[in-house]
Amino acid sequence: MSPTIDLTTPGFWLVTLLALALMTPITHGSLRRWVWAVVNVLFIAWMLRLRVVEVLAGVAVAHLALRMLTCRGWRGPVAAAGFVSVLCLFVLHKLPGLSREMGTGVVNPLLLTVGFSYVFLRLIDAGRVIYEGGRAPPSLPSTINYLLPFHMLAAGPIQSYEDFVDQPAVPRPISAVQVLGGVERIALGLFKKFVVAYVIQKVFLTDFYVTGPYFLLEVQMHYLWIYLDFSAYSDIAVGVGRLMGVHTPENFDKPYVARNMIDFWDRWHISLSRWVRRNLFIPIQLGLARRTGGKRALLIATLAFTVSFLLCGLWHGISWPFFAWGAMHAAGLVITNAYRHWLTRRLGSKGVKAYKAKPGYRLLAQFLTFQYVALSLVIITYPWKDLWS
Amino acid sequence: MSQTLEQLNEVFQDVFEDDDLDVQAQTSAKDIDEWDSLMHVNLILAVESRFDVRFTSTEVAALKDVGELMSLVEKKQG
Repeated sequence: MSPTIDLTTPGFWLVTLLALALMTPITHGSLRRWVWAVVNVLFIAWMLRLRVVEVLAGVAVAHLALRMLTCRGWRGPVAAAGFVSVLCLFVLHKLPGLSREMGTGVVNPLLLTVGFSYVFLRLIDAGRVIYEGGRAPPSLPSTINYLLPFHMLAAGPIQSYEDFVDQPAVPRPISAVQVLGGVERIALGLFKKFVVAYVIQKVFLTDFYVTGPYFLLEVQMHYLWIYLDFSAYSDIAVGVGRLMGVHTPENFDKPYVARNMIDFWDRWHISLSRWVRRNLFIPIQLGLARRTGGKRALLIATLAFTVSFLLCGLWHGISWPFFAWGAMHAAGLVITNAYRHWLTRRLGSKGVKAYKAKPGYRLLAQFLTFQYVALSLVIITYPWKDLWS
Repeated sequence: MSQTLEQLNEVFQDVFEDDDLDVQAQTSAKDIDEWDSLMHVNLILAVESRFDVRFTSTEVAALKDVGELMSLVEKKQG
C-alpha cells in the first residue's frame, strides 16, 4: 500500500498534540515559525515514509525557485521552468500506474512531495502572487509552513499565499471559549465521519450495483456521504488550526442548498474554487477580455469556465471519469451563466431580483442543482468496467 | 463622496445597468446580486478603461470591496 496522509490515524493526533505542546507557549514570531516548520517536516517525512533530508531537499528547490521569481532577468525563465517542472511531476504522480513504474530512486520522493495535489496548488498560488509582485517571497520556515502544513495536507483547505503572509507572526492568545470552539469543531468532524457518514455508507451505498428506484436513492445518499466525509476532514483541519493559532480557511457552506452551479462552487470546496478563480478563471478571462477589448464577454466567460473546470477535473485524477466530471461542472456553470444573462436582458435587474425571491422557483432551482451535482459524483465512482464485462 | 468614488459609482451603474446604484467604500459583492465572479472581471475592465490603469490578476482576485478598489485605483494613478 502506498503511503498517504490521513487525519484519522493515531500519527496525526500524536503530531497535533506535539504541535500544540510546542507552539502554544511560544510568543516569539521567528521561533514559532521554525518550530512549526520542524513539526511539518517531521510529519510529512513520517507519513510518506521519506527521509527528512529528502523532504528538505524538495523544499529547498521550491524555496530557491520562489525567491528567484523576484530577481530581474531570472524571473521569467525561472517561472516558466518551475511551472513546467512542477506540472510534469504532478502529471507523473497522477497518471495511474506510471508513478509506480517510474517512482524509484530520487524520483519517488519528489513525486510524493511535489506531486502531492495540495502542495502543487500551493506552489502555483505562491509562484503567481510573487511573480506579479503581490507579496514578498517567503523565508525558509515560511516556505515549509505554507507548502506543507500538516493539518491541511490530506484534504485541504488550500490557503491562499496572500492570506498566509497576512497572518500575524504570533496569534492572539486563545481564550477558553475559543479552545472549546476548536474542540467542538473537531468533535463535529469526527461525528460526521465516523457516525453519520459511516451509517450512510453501510446502510445505503452499494457502489451502484442496484437498479430502479433504489439506484435513484443511492445517487442522493452518495452525494450526502461524500459531503459529510469530505467536510468532516475540513472540520477537523479548521478545529486543529484554531487550537494551534494557525489560520485555516473554511471549505464548505451548506452546498446542498445551492440554487445553481455558480452558487454551488461558492459553497463546495470553497478554497479550491477560489484557487481556480485566482489562478485559472481570472487570468484566462482577463487575458482574453483585454485581447478583444471587452467584447464577446459571454463567449470569453464560457471559454474560461470550460478550461478552468476541465483542468480542475484532471487535477482530481487524470482519467476519463474525472474529465467528464469537470466537463459536466463546466457545462453547468456555462448554462447557469447564459441563463442568468438571458434572464437579466428579459426581466431587467429588478425583475430578476423579484423572480429569484419566489419560493417555488428557489426550491426548484435547489432541487435541480442538487440532482445535477449528485449525478456528476456518480460519474466518478460508477463501476464502468463492470458494466462492460 | 470623493471624486474617485463618484467616478467608480458611474462605472458600477454602467456595468450593472442600474442607474439607482449608489456604491460606498464598504459596498461588496454581497450587496449587489449581479456582482459575481463573471461580472467582477467585466467591472475591472471597465474601471481600467475609465481610469487608464492596469491591474494584475493577483490584484483583481484579492479585491474585497469598493474601498479596496478605490485605494488601488488611487495608488496606480500615483
